[in-house]
Amino acid sequence: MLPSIPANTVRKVAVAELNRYTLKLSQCTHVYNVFLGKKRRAATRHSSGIMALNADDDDFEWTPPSESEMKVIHAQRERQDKISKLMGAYLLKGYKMLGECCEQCGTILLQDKQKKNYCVACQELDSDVDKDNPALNAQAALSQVRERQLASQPVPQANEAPSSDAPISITGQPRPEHCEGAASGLRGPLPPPANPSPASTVTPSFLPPSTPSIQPVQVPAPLVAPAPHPALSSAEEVVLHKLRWATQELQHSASVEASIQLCSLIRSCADSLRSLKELHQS
Amino acid sequence: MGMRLQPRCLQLDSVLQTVSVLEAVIRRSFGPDGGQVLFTRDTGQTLLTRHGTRILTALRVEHPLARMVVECVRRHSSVTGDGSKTFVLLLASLLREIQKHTRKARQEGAGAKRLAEALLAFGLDELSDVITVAVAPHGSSLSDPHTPGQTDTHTLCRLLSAFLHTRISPTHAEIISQLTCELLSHWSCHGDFINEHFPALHTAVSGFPIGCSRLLEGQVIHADFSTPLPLRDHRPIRALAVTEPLEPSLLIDGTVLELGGANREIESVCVRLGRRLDSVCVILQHLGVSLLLSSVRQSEAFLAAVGRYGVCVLECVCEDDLTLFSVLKDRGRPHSLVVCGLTEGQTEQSVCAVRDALHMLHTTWGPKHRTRATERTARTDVMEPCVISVGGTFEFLLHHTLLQRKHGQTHSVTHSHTHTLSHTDMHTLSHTDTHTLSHTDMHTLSHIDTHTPSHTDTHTQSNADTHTLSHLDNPAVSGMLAEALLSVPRQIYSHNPRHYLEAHAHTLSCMRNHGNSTDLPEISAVLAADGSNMVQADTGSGSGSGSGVKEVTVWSSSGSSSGVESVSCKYQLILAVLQCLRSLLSVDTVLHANTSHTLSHACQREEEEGD
Repeated sequence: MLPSIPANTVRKVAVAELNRYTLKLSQCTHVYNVFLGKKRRAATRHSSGIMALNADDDDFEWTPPSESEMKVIHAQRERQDKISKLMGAYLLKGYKMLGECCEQCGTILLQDKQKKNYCVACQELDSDVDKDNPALNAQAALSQVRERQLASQPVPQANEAPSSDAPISITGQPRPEHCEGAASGLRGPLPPPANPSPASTVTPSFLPPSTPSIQPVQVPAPLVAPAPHPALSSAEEVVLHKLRWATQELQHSASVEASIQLCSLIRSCADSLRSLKELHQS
Repeated sequence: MGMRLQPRCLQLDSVLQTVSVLEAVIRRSFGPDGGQVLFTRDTGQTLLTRHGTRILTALRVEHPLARMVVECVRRHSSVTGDGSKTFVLLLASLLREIQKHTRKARQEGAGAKRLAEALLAFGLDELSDVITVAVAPHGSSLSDPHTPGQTDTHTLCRLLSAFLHTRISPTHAEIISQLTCELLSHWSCHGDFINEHFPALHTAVSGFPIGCSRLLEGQVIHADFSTPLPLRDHRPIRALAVTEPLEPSLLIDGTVLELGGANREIESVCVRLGRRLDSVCVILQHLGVSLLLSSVRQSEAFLAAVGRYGVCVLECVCEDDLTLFSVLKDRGRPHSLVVCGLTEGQTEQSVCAVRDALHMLHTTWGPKHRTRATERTARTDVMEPCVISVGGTFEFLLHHTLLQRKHGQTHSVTHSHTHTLSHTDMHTLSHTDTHTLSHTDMHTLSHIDTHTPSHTDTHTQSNADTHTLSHLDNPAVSGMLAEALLSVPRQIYSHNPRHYLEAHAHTLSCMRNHGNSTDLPEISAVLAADGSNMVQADTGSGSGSGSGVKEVTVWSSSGSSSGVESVSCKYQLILAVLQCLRSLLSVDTVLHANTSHTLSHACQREEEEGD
């Protein structure tokens, strides 16, 4: 994603410089780099009025990049670092690094064992933004609707002390309820049960209205966290649902094998919940 | 099948991205706190390794530039035995520096190429002097101070121990390094010898714990007896090494003999052949040979015959063993190393580690074999076997020395614009004693300037054309290399930024105490500048030079017994990186030819079979 540069400047520079140089501008990032360089060069040349015959002279006329340019350079560098890290991880997983580049962003393509090509930048980095956009993603839209619903309801507090009680407003606590066994061990100590106040300013605690009378569980310690990510909360819902089902099955299961499998399912659900919780808090 | 050519201009960004990906792969295994990579095969075999070359060659890479880099790393590692991860780190950071410098240039590609050439020229011409002057005084020599020509065993042990700790787990490394030290001490005057004959001098045994590894007196021949060894008293045994079947060729299995004439001919032929066989055995007995080492299989008839005469035979002895056997007759009592390991993978790792350690020692000791075919003659050959303590000391020292050079040269360059003293200044300054060079005071420089005009006319013309390219780049080159070198200690201490600052401060105080350079920046200033690059650590202890030095010396005393690393290996590494950089950036276009599809599959299959 290219940061915005005033369109006029870019156009002026482009017209001026393309008349002088012939460049093959095939990829966006390359275009951007070249424009940046040209802009600066045009500025110095016009201001100093010296025709630099020798590239060496530019060393002494070089002005350090301005604040905005530095920010842009930093952002670019960070993006490139992220891409390299992701690609390195995939290479270690057994993906193959191809000799071709992606047509849209110019990143090197990877190929997995099923011979499917994969571009890290297009499919992982940029899609983080798209995931949350309700216009593009149905799941995100649903989560947003749900959020608004729950925010408008008074929070039903039975015997549990959910995260909304504490004077520090807890935003975005993962749904803590109704997990037995392994999952409850992950939760922090029970916070002091305060009187449930239907605080309208607090974001919903995500109690699904459909949860019947299953025993109360510990709530995570009150924390100040950012607004809940709709994708994460929907993931937690699903995992908790699976956990509940697994525990019910475990109660009724008669065979040892099945019990073992159900226990491992519960354990992996708990692990996923823990990592989701960490994501929330980070 | 037609070739579809897609010429594509190579950009610095894509080169940098390729190398950054490789760097991201090995970054997590780098340094003493680095992790290991677990490789699994479809057959179920697993391998746990931290060795950079192993990791890089196991990746599936089809990108031509990446393959080039991996090949460079592999070759470098096969010569010096070490430094594959540092290679990739340095390469990536140098590329980033070049990118920074060429952002402002008109043609990115040409500027980068020029800078790479300048870097390589600097590395070949001047780097060895810089290292000898600035870095070597802070290290210690590998030769024994009391008996020159012999190795100082204690330093040797530290060197080996530090090296092996980076390869195998600490407990195992202790055992193996002790054994290797012992082995080397037995062969003290024949350092190169062990390196050459290492395949024959070691035996790998799987299935035993690593603590069972030991040194055996004598040479171990990796073959089994084909005829039983007759018990004899402890008389010296005479052995004969043969490389061909000793038997008359007609009796070899599978030969078809066509005889003409009467039936009795066959019998007479057999009898004659049998008699020849007997005569061979009689000769053996006459020579007093009781052990026969054969590199090929001998026939059953021959084995039976020599067995009757009491000669014992070993068949299929490998060439290395035979060569060593023939060479050893003048050398007295040999020792060979038996390396044990619980699994084959573990044993192989230990053996590779020892072999690379020997390569590293060979690089440190011996300048004789170093020939680099480049267009400029390299004055790289003679460097003293010198070691320096681990933890980035080499990089810090070189960084500061290069920065001093850069400041010295920048001032003289601005002078040269007004005085038109092009290359001469650089030349004279680079040969001046470091004491005066380090004074960046303008007065001193102008003092030097007034003395050099006499040299201008004689030198400018001759050196102008070869050095005009590099003379204005020299400050940039030193600066770039200096900044790039810092990436290595940063990565070493990436888990602990405070240690990084402490190490940096320690090195600065060593440089100051050494008394060579008096214009070193204040420790606090350096730490402040560096701290902004690393995580902001508590630099309270470093500020104020007096207290800073005291704090730092406390840290250094605990580090004095730590490992050491070889300076020559580091120098070779920098040279190899600069050459790889030059070759990377001299590629203009990549042509994709589709006919290579079948070839690449064939190559892949070969590689997989060969693994």
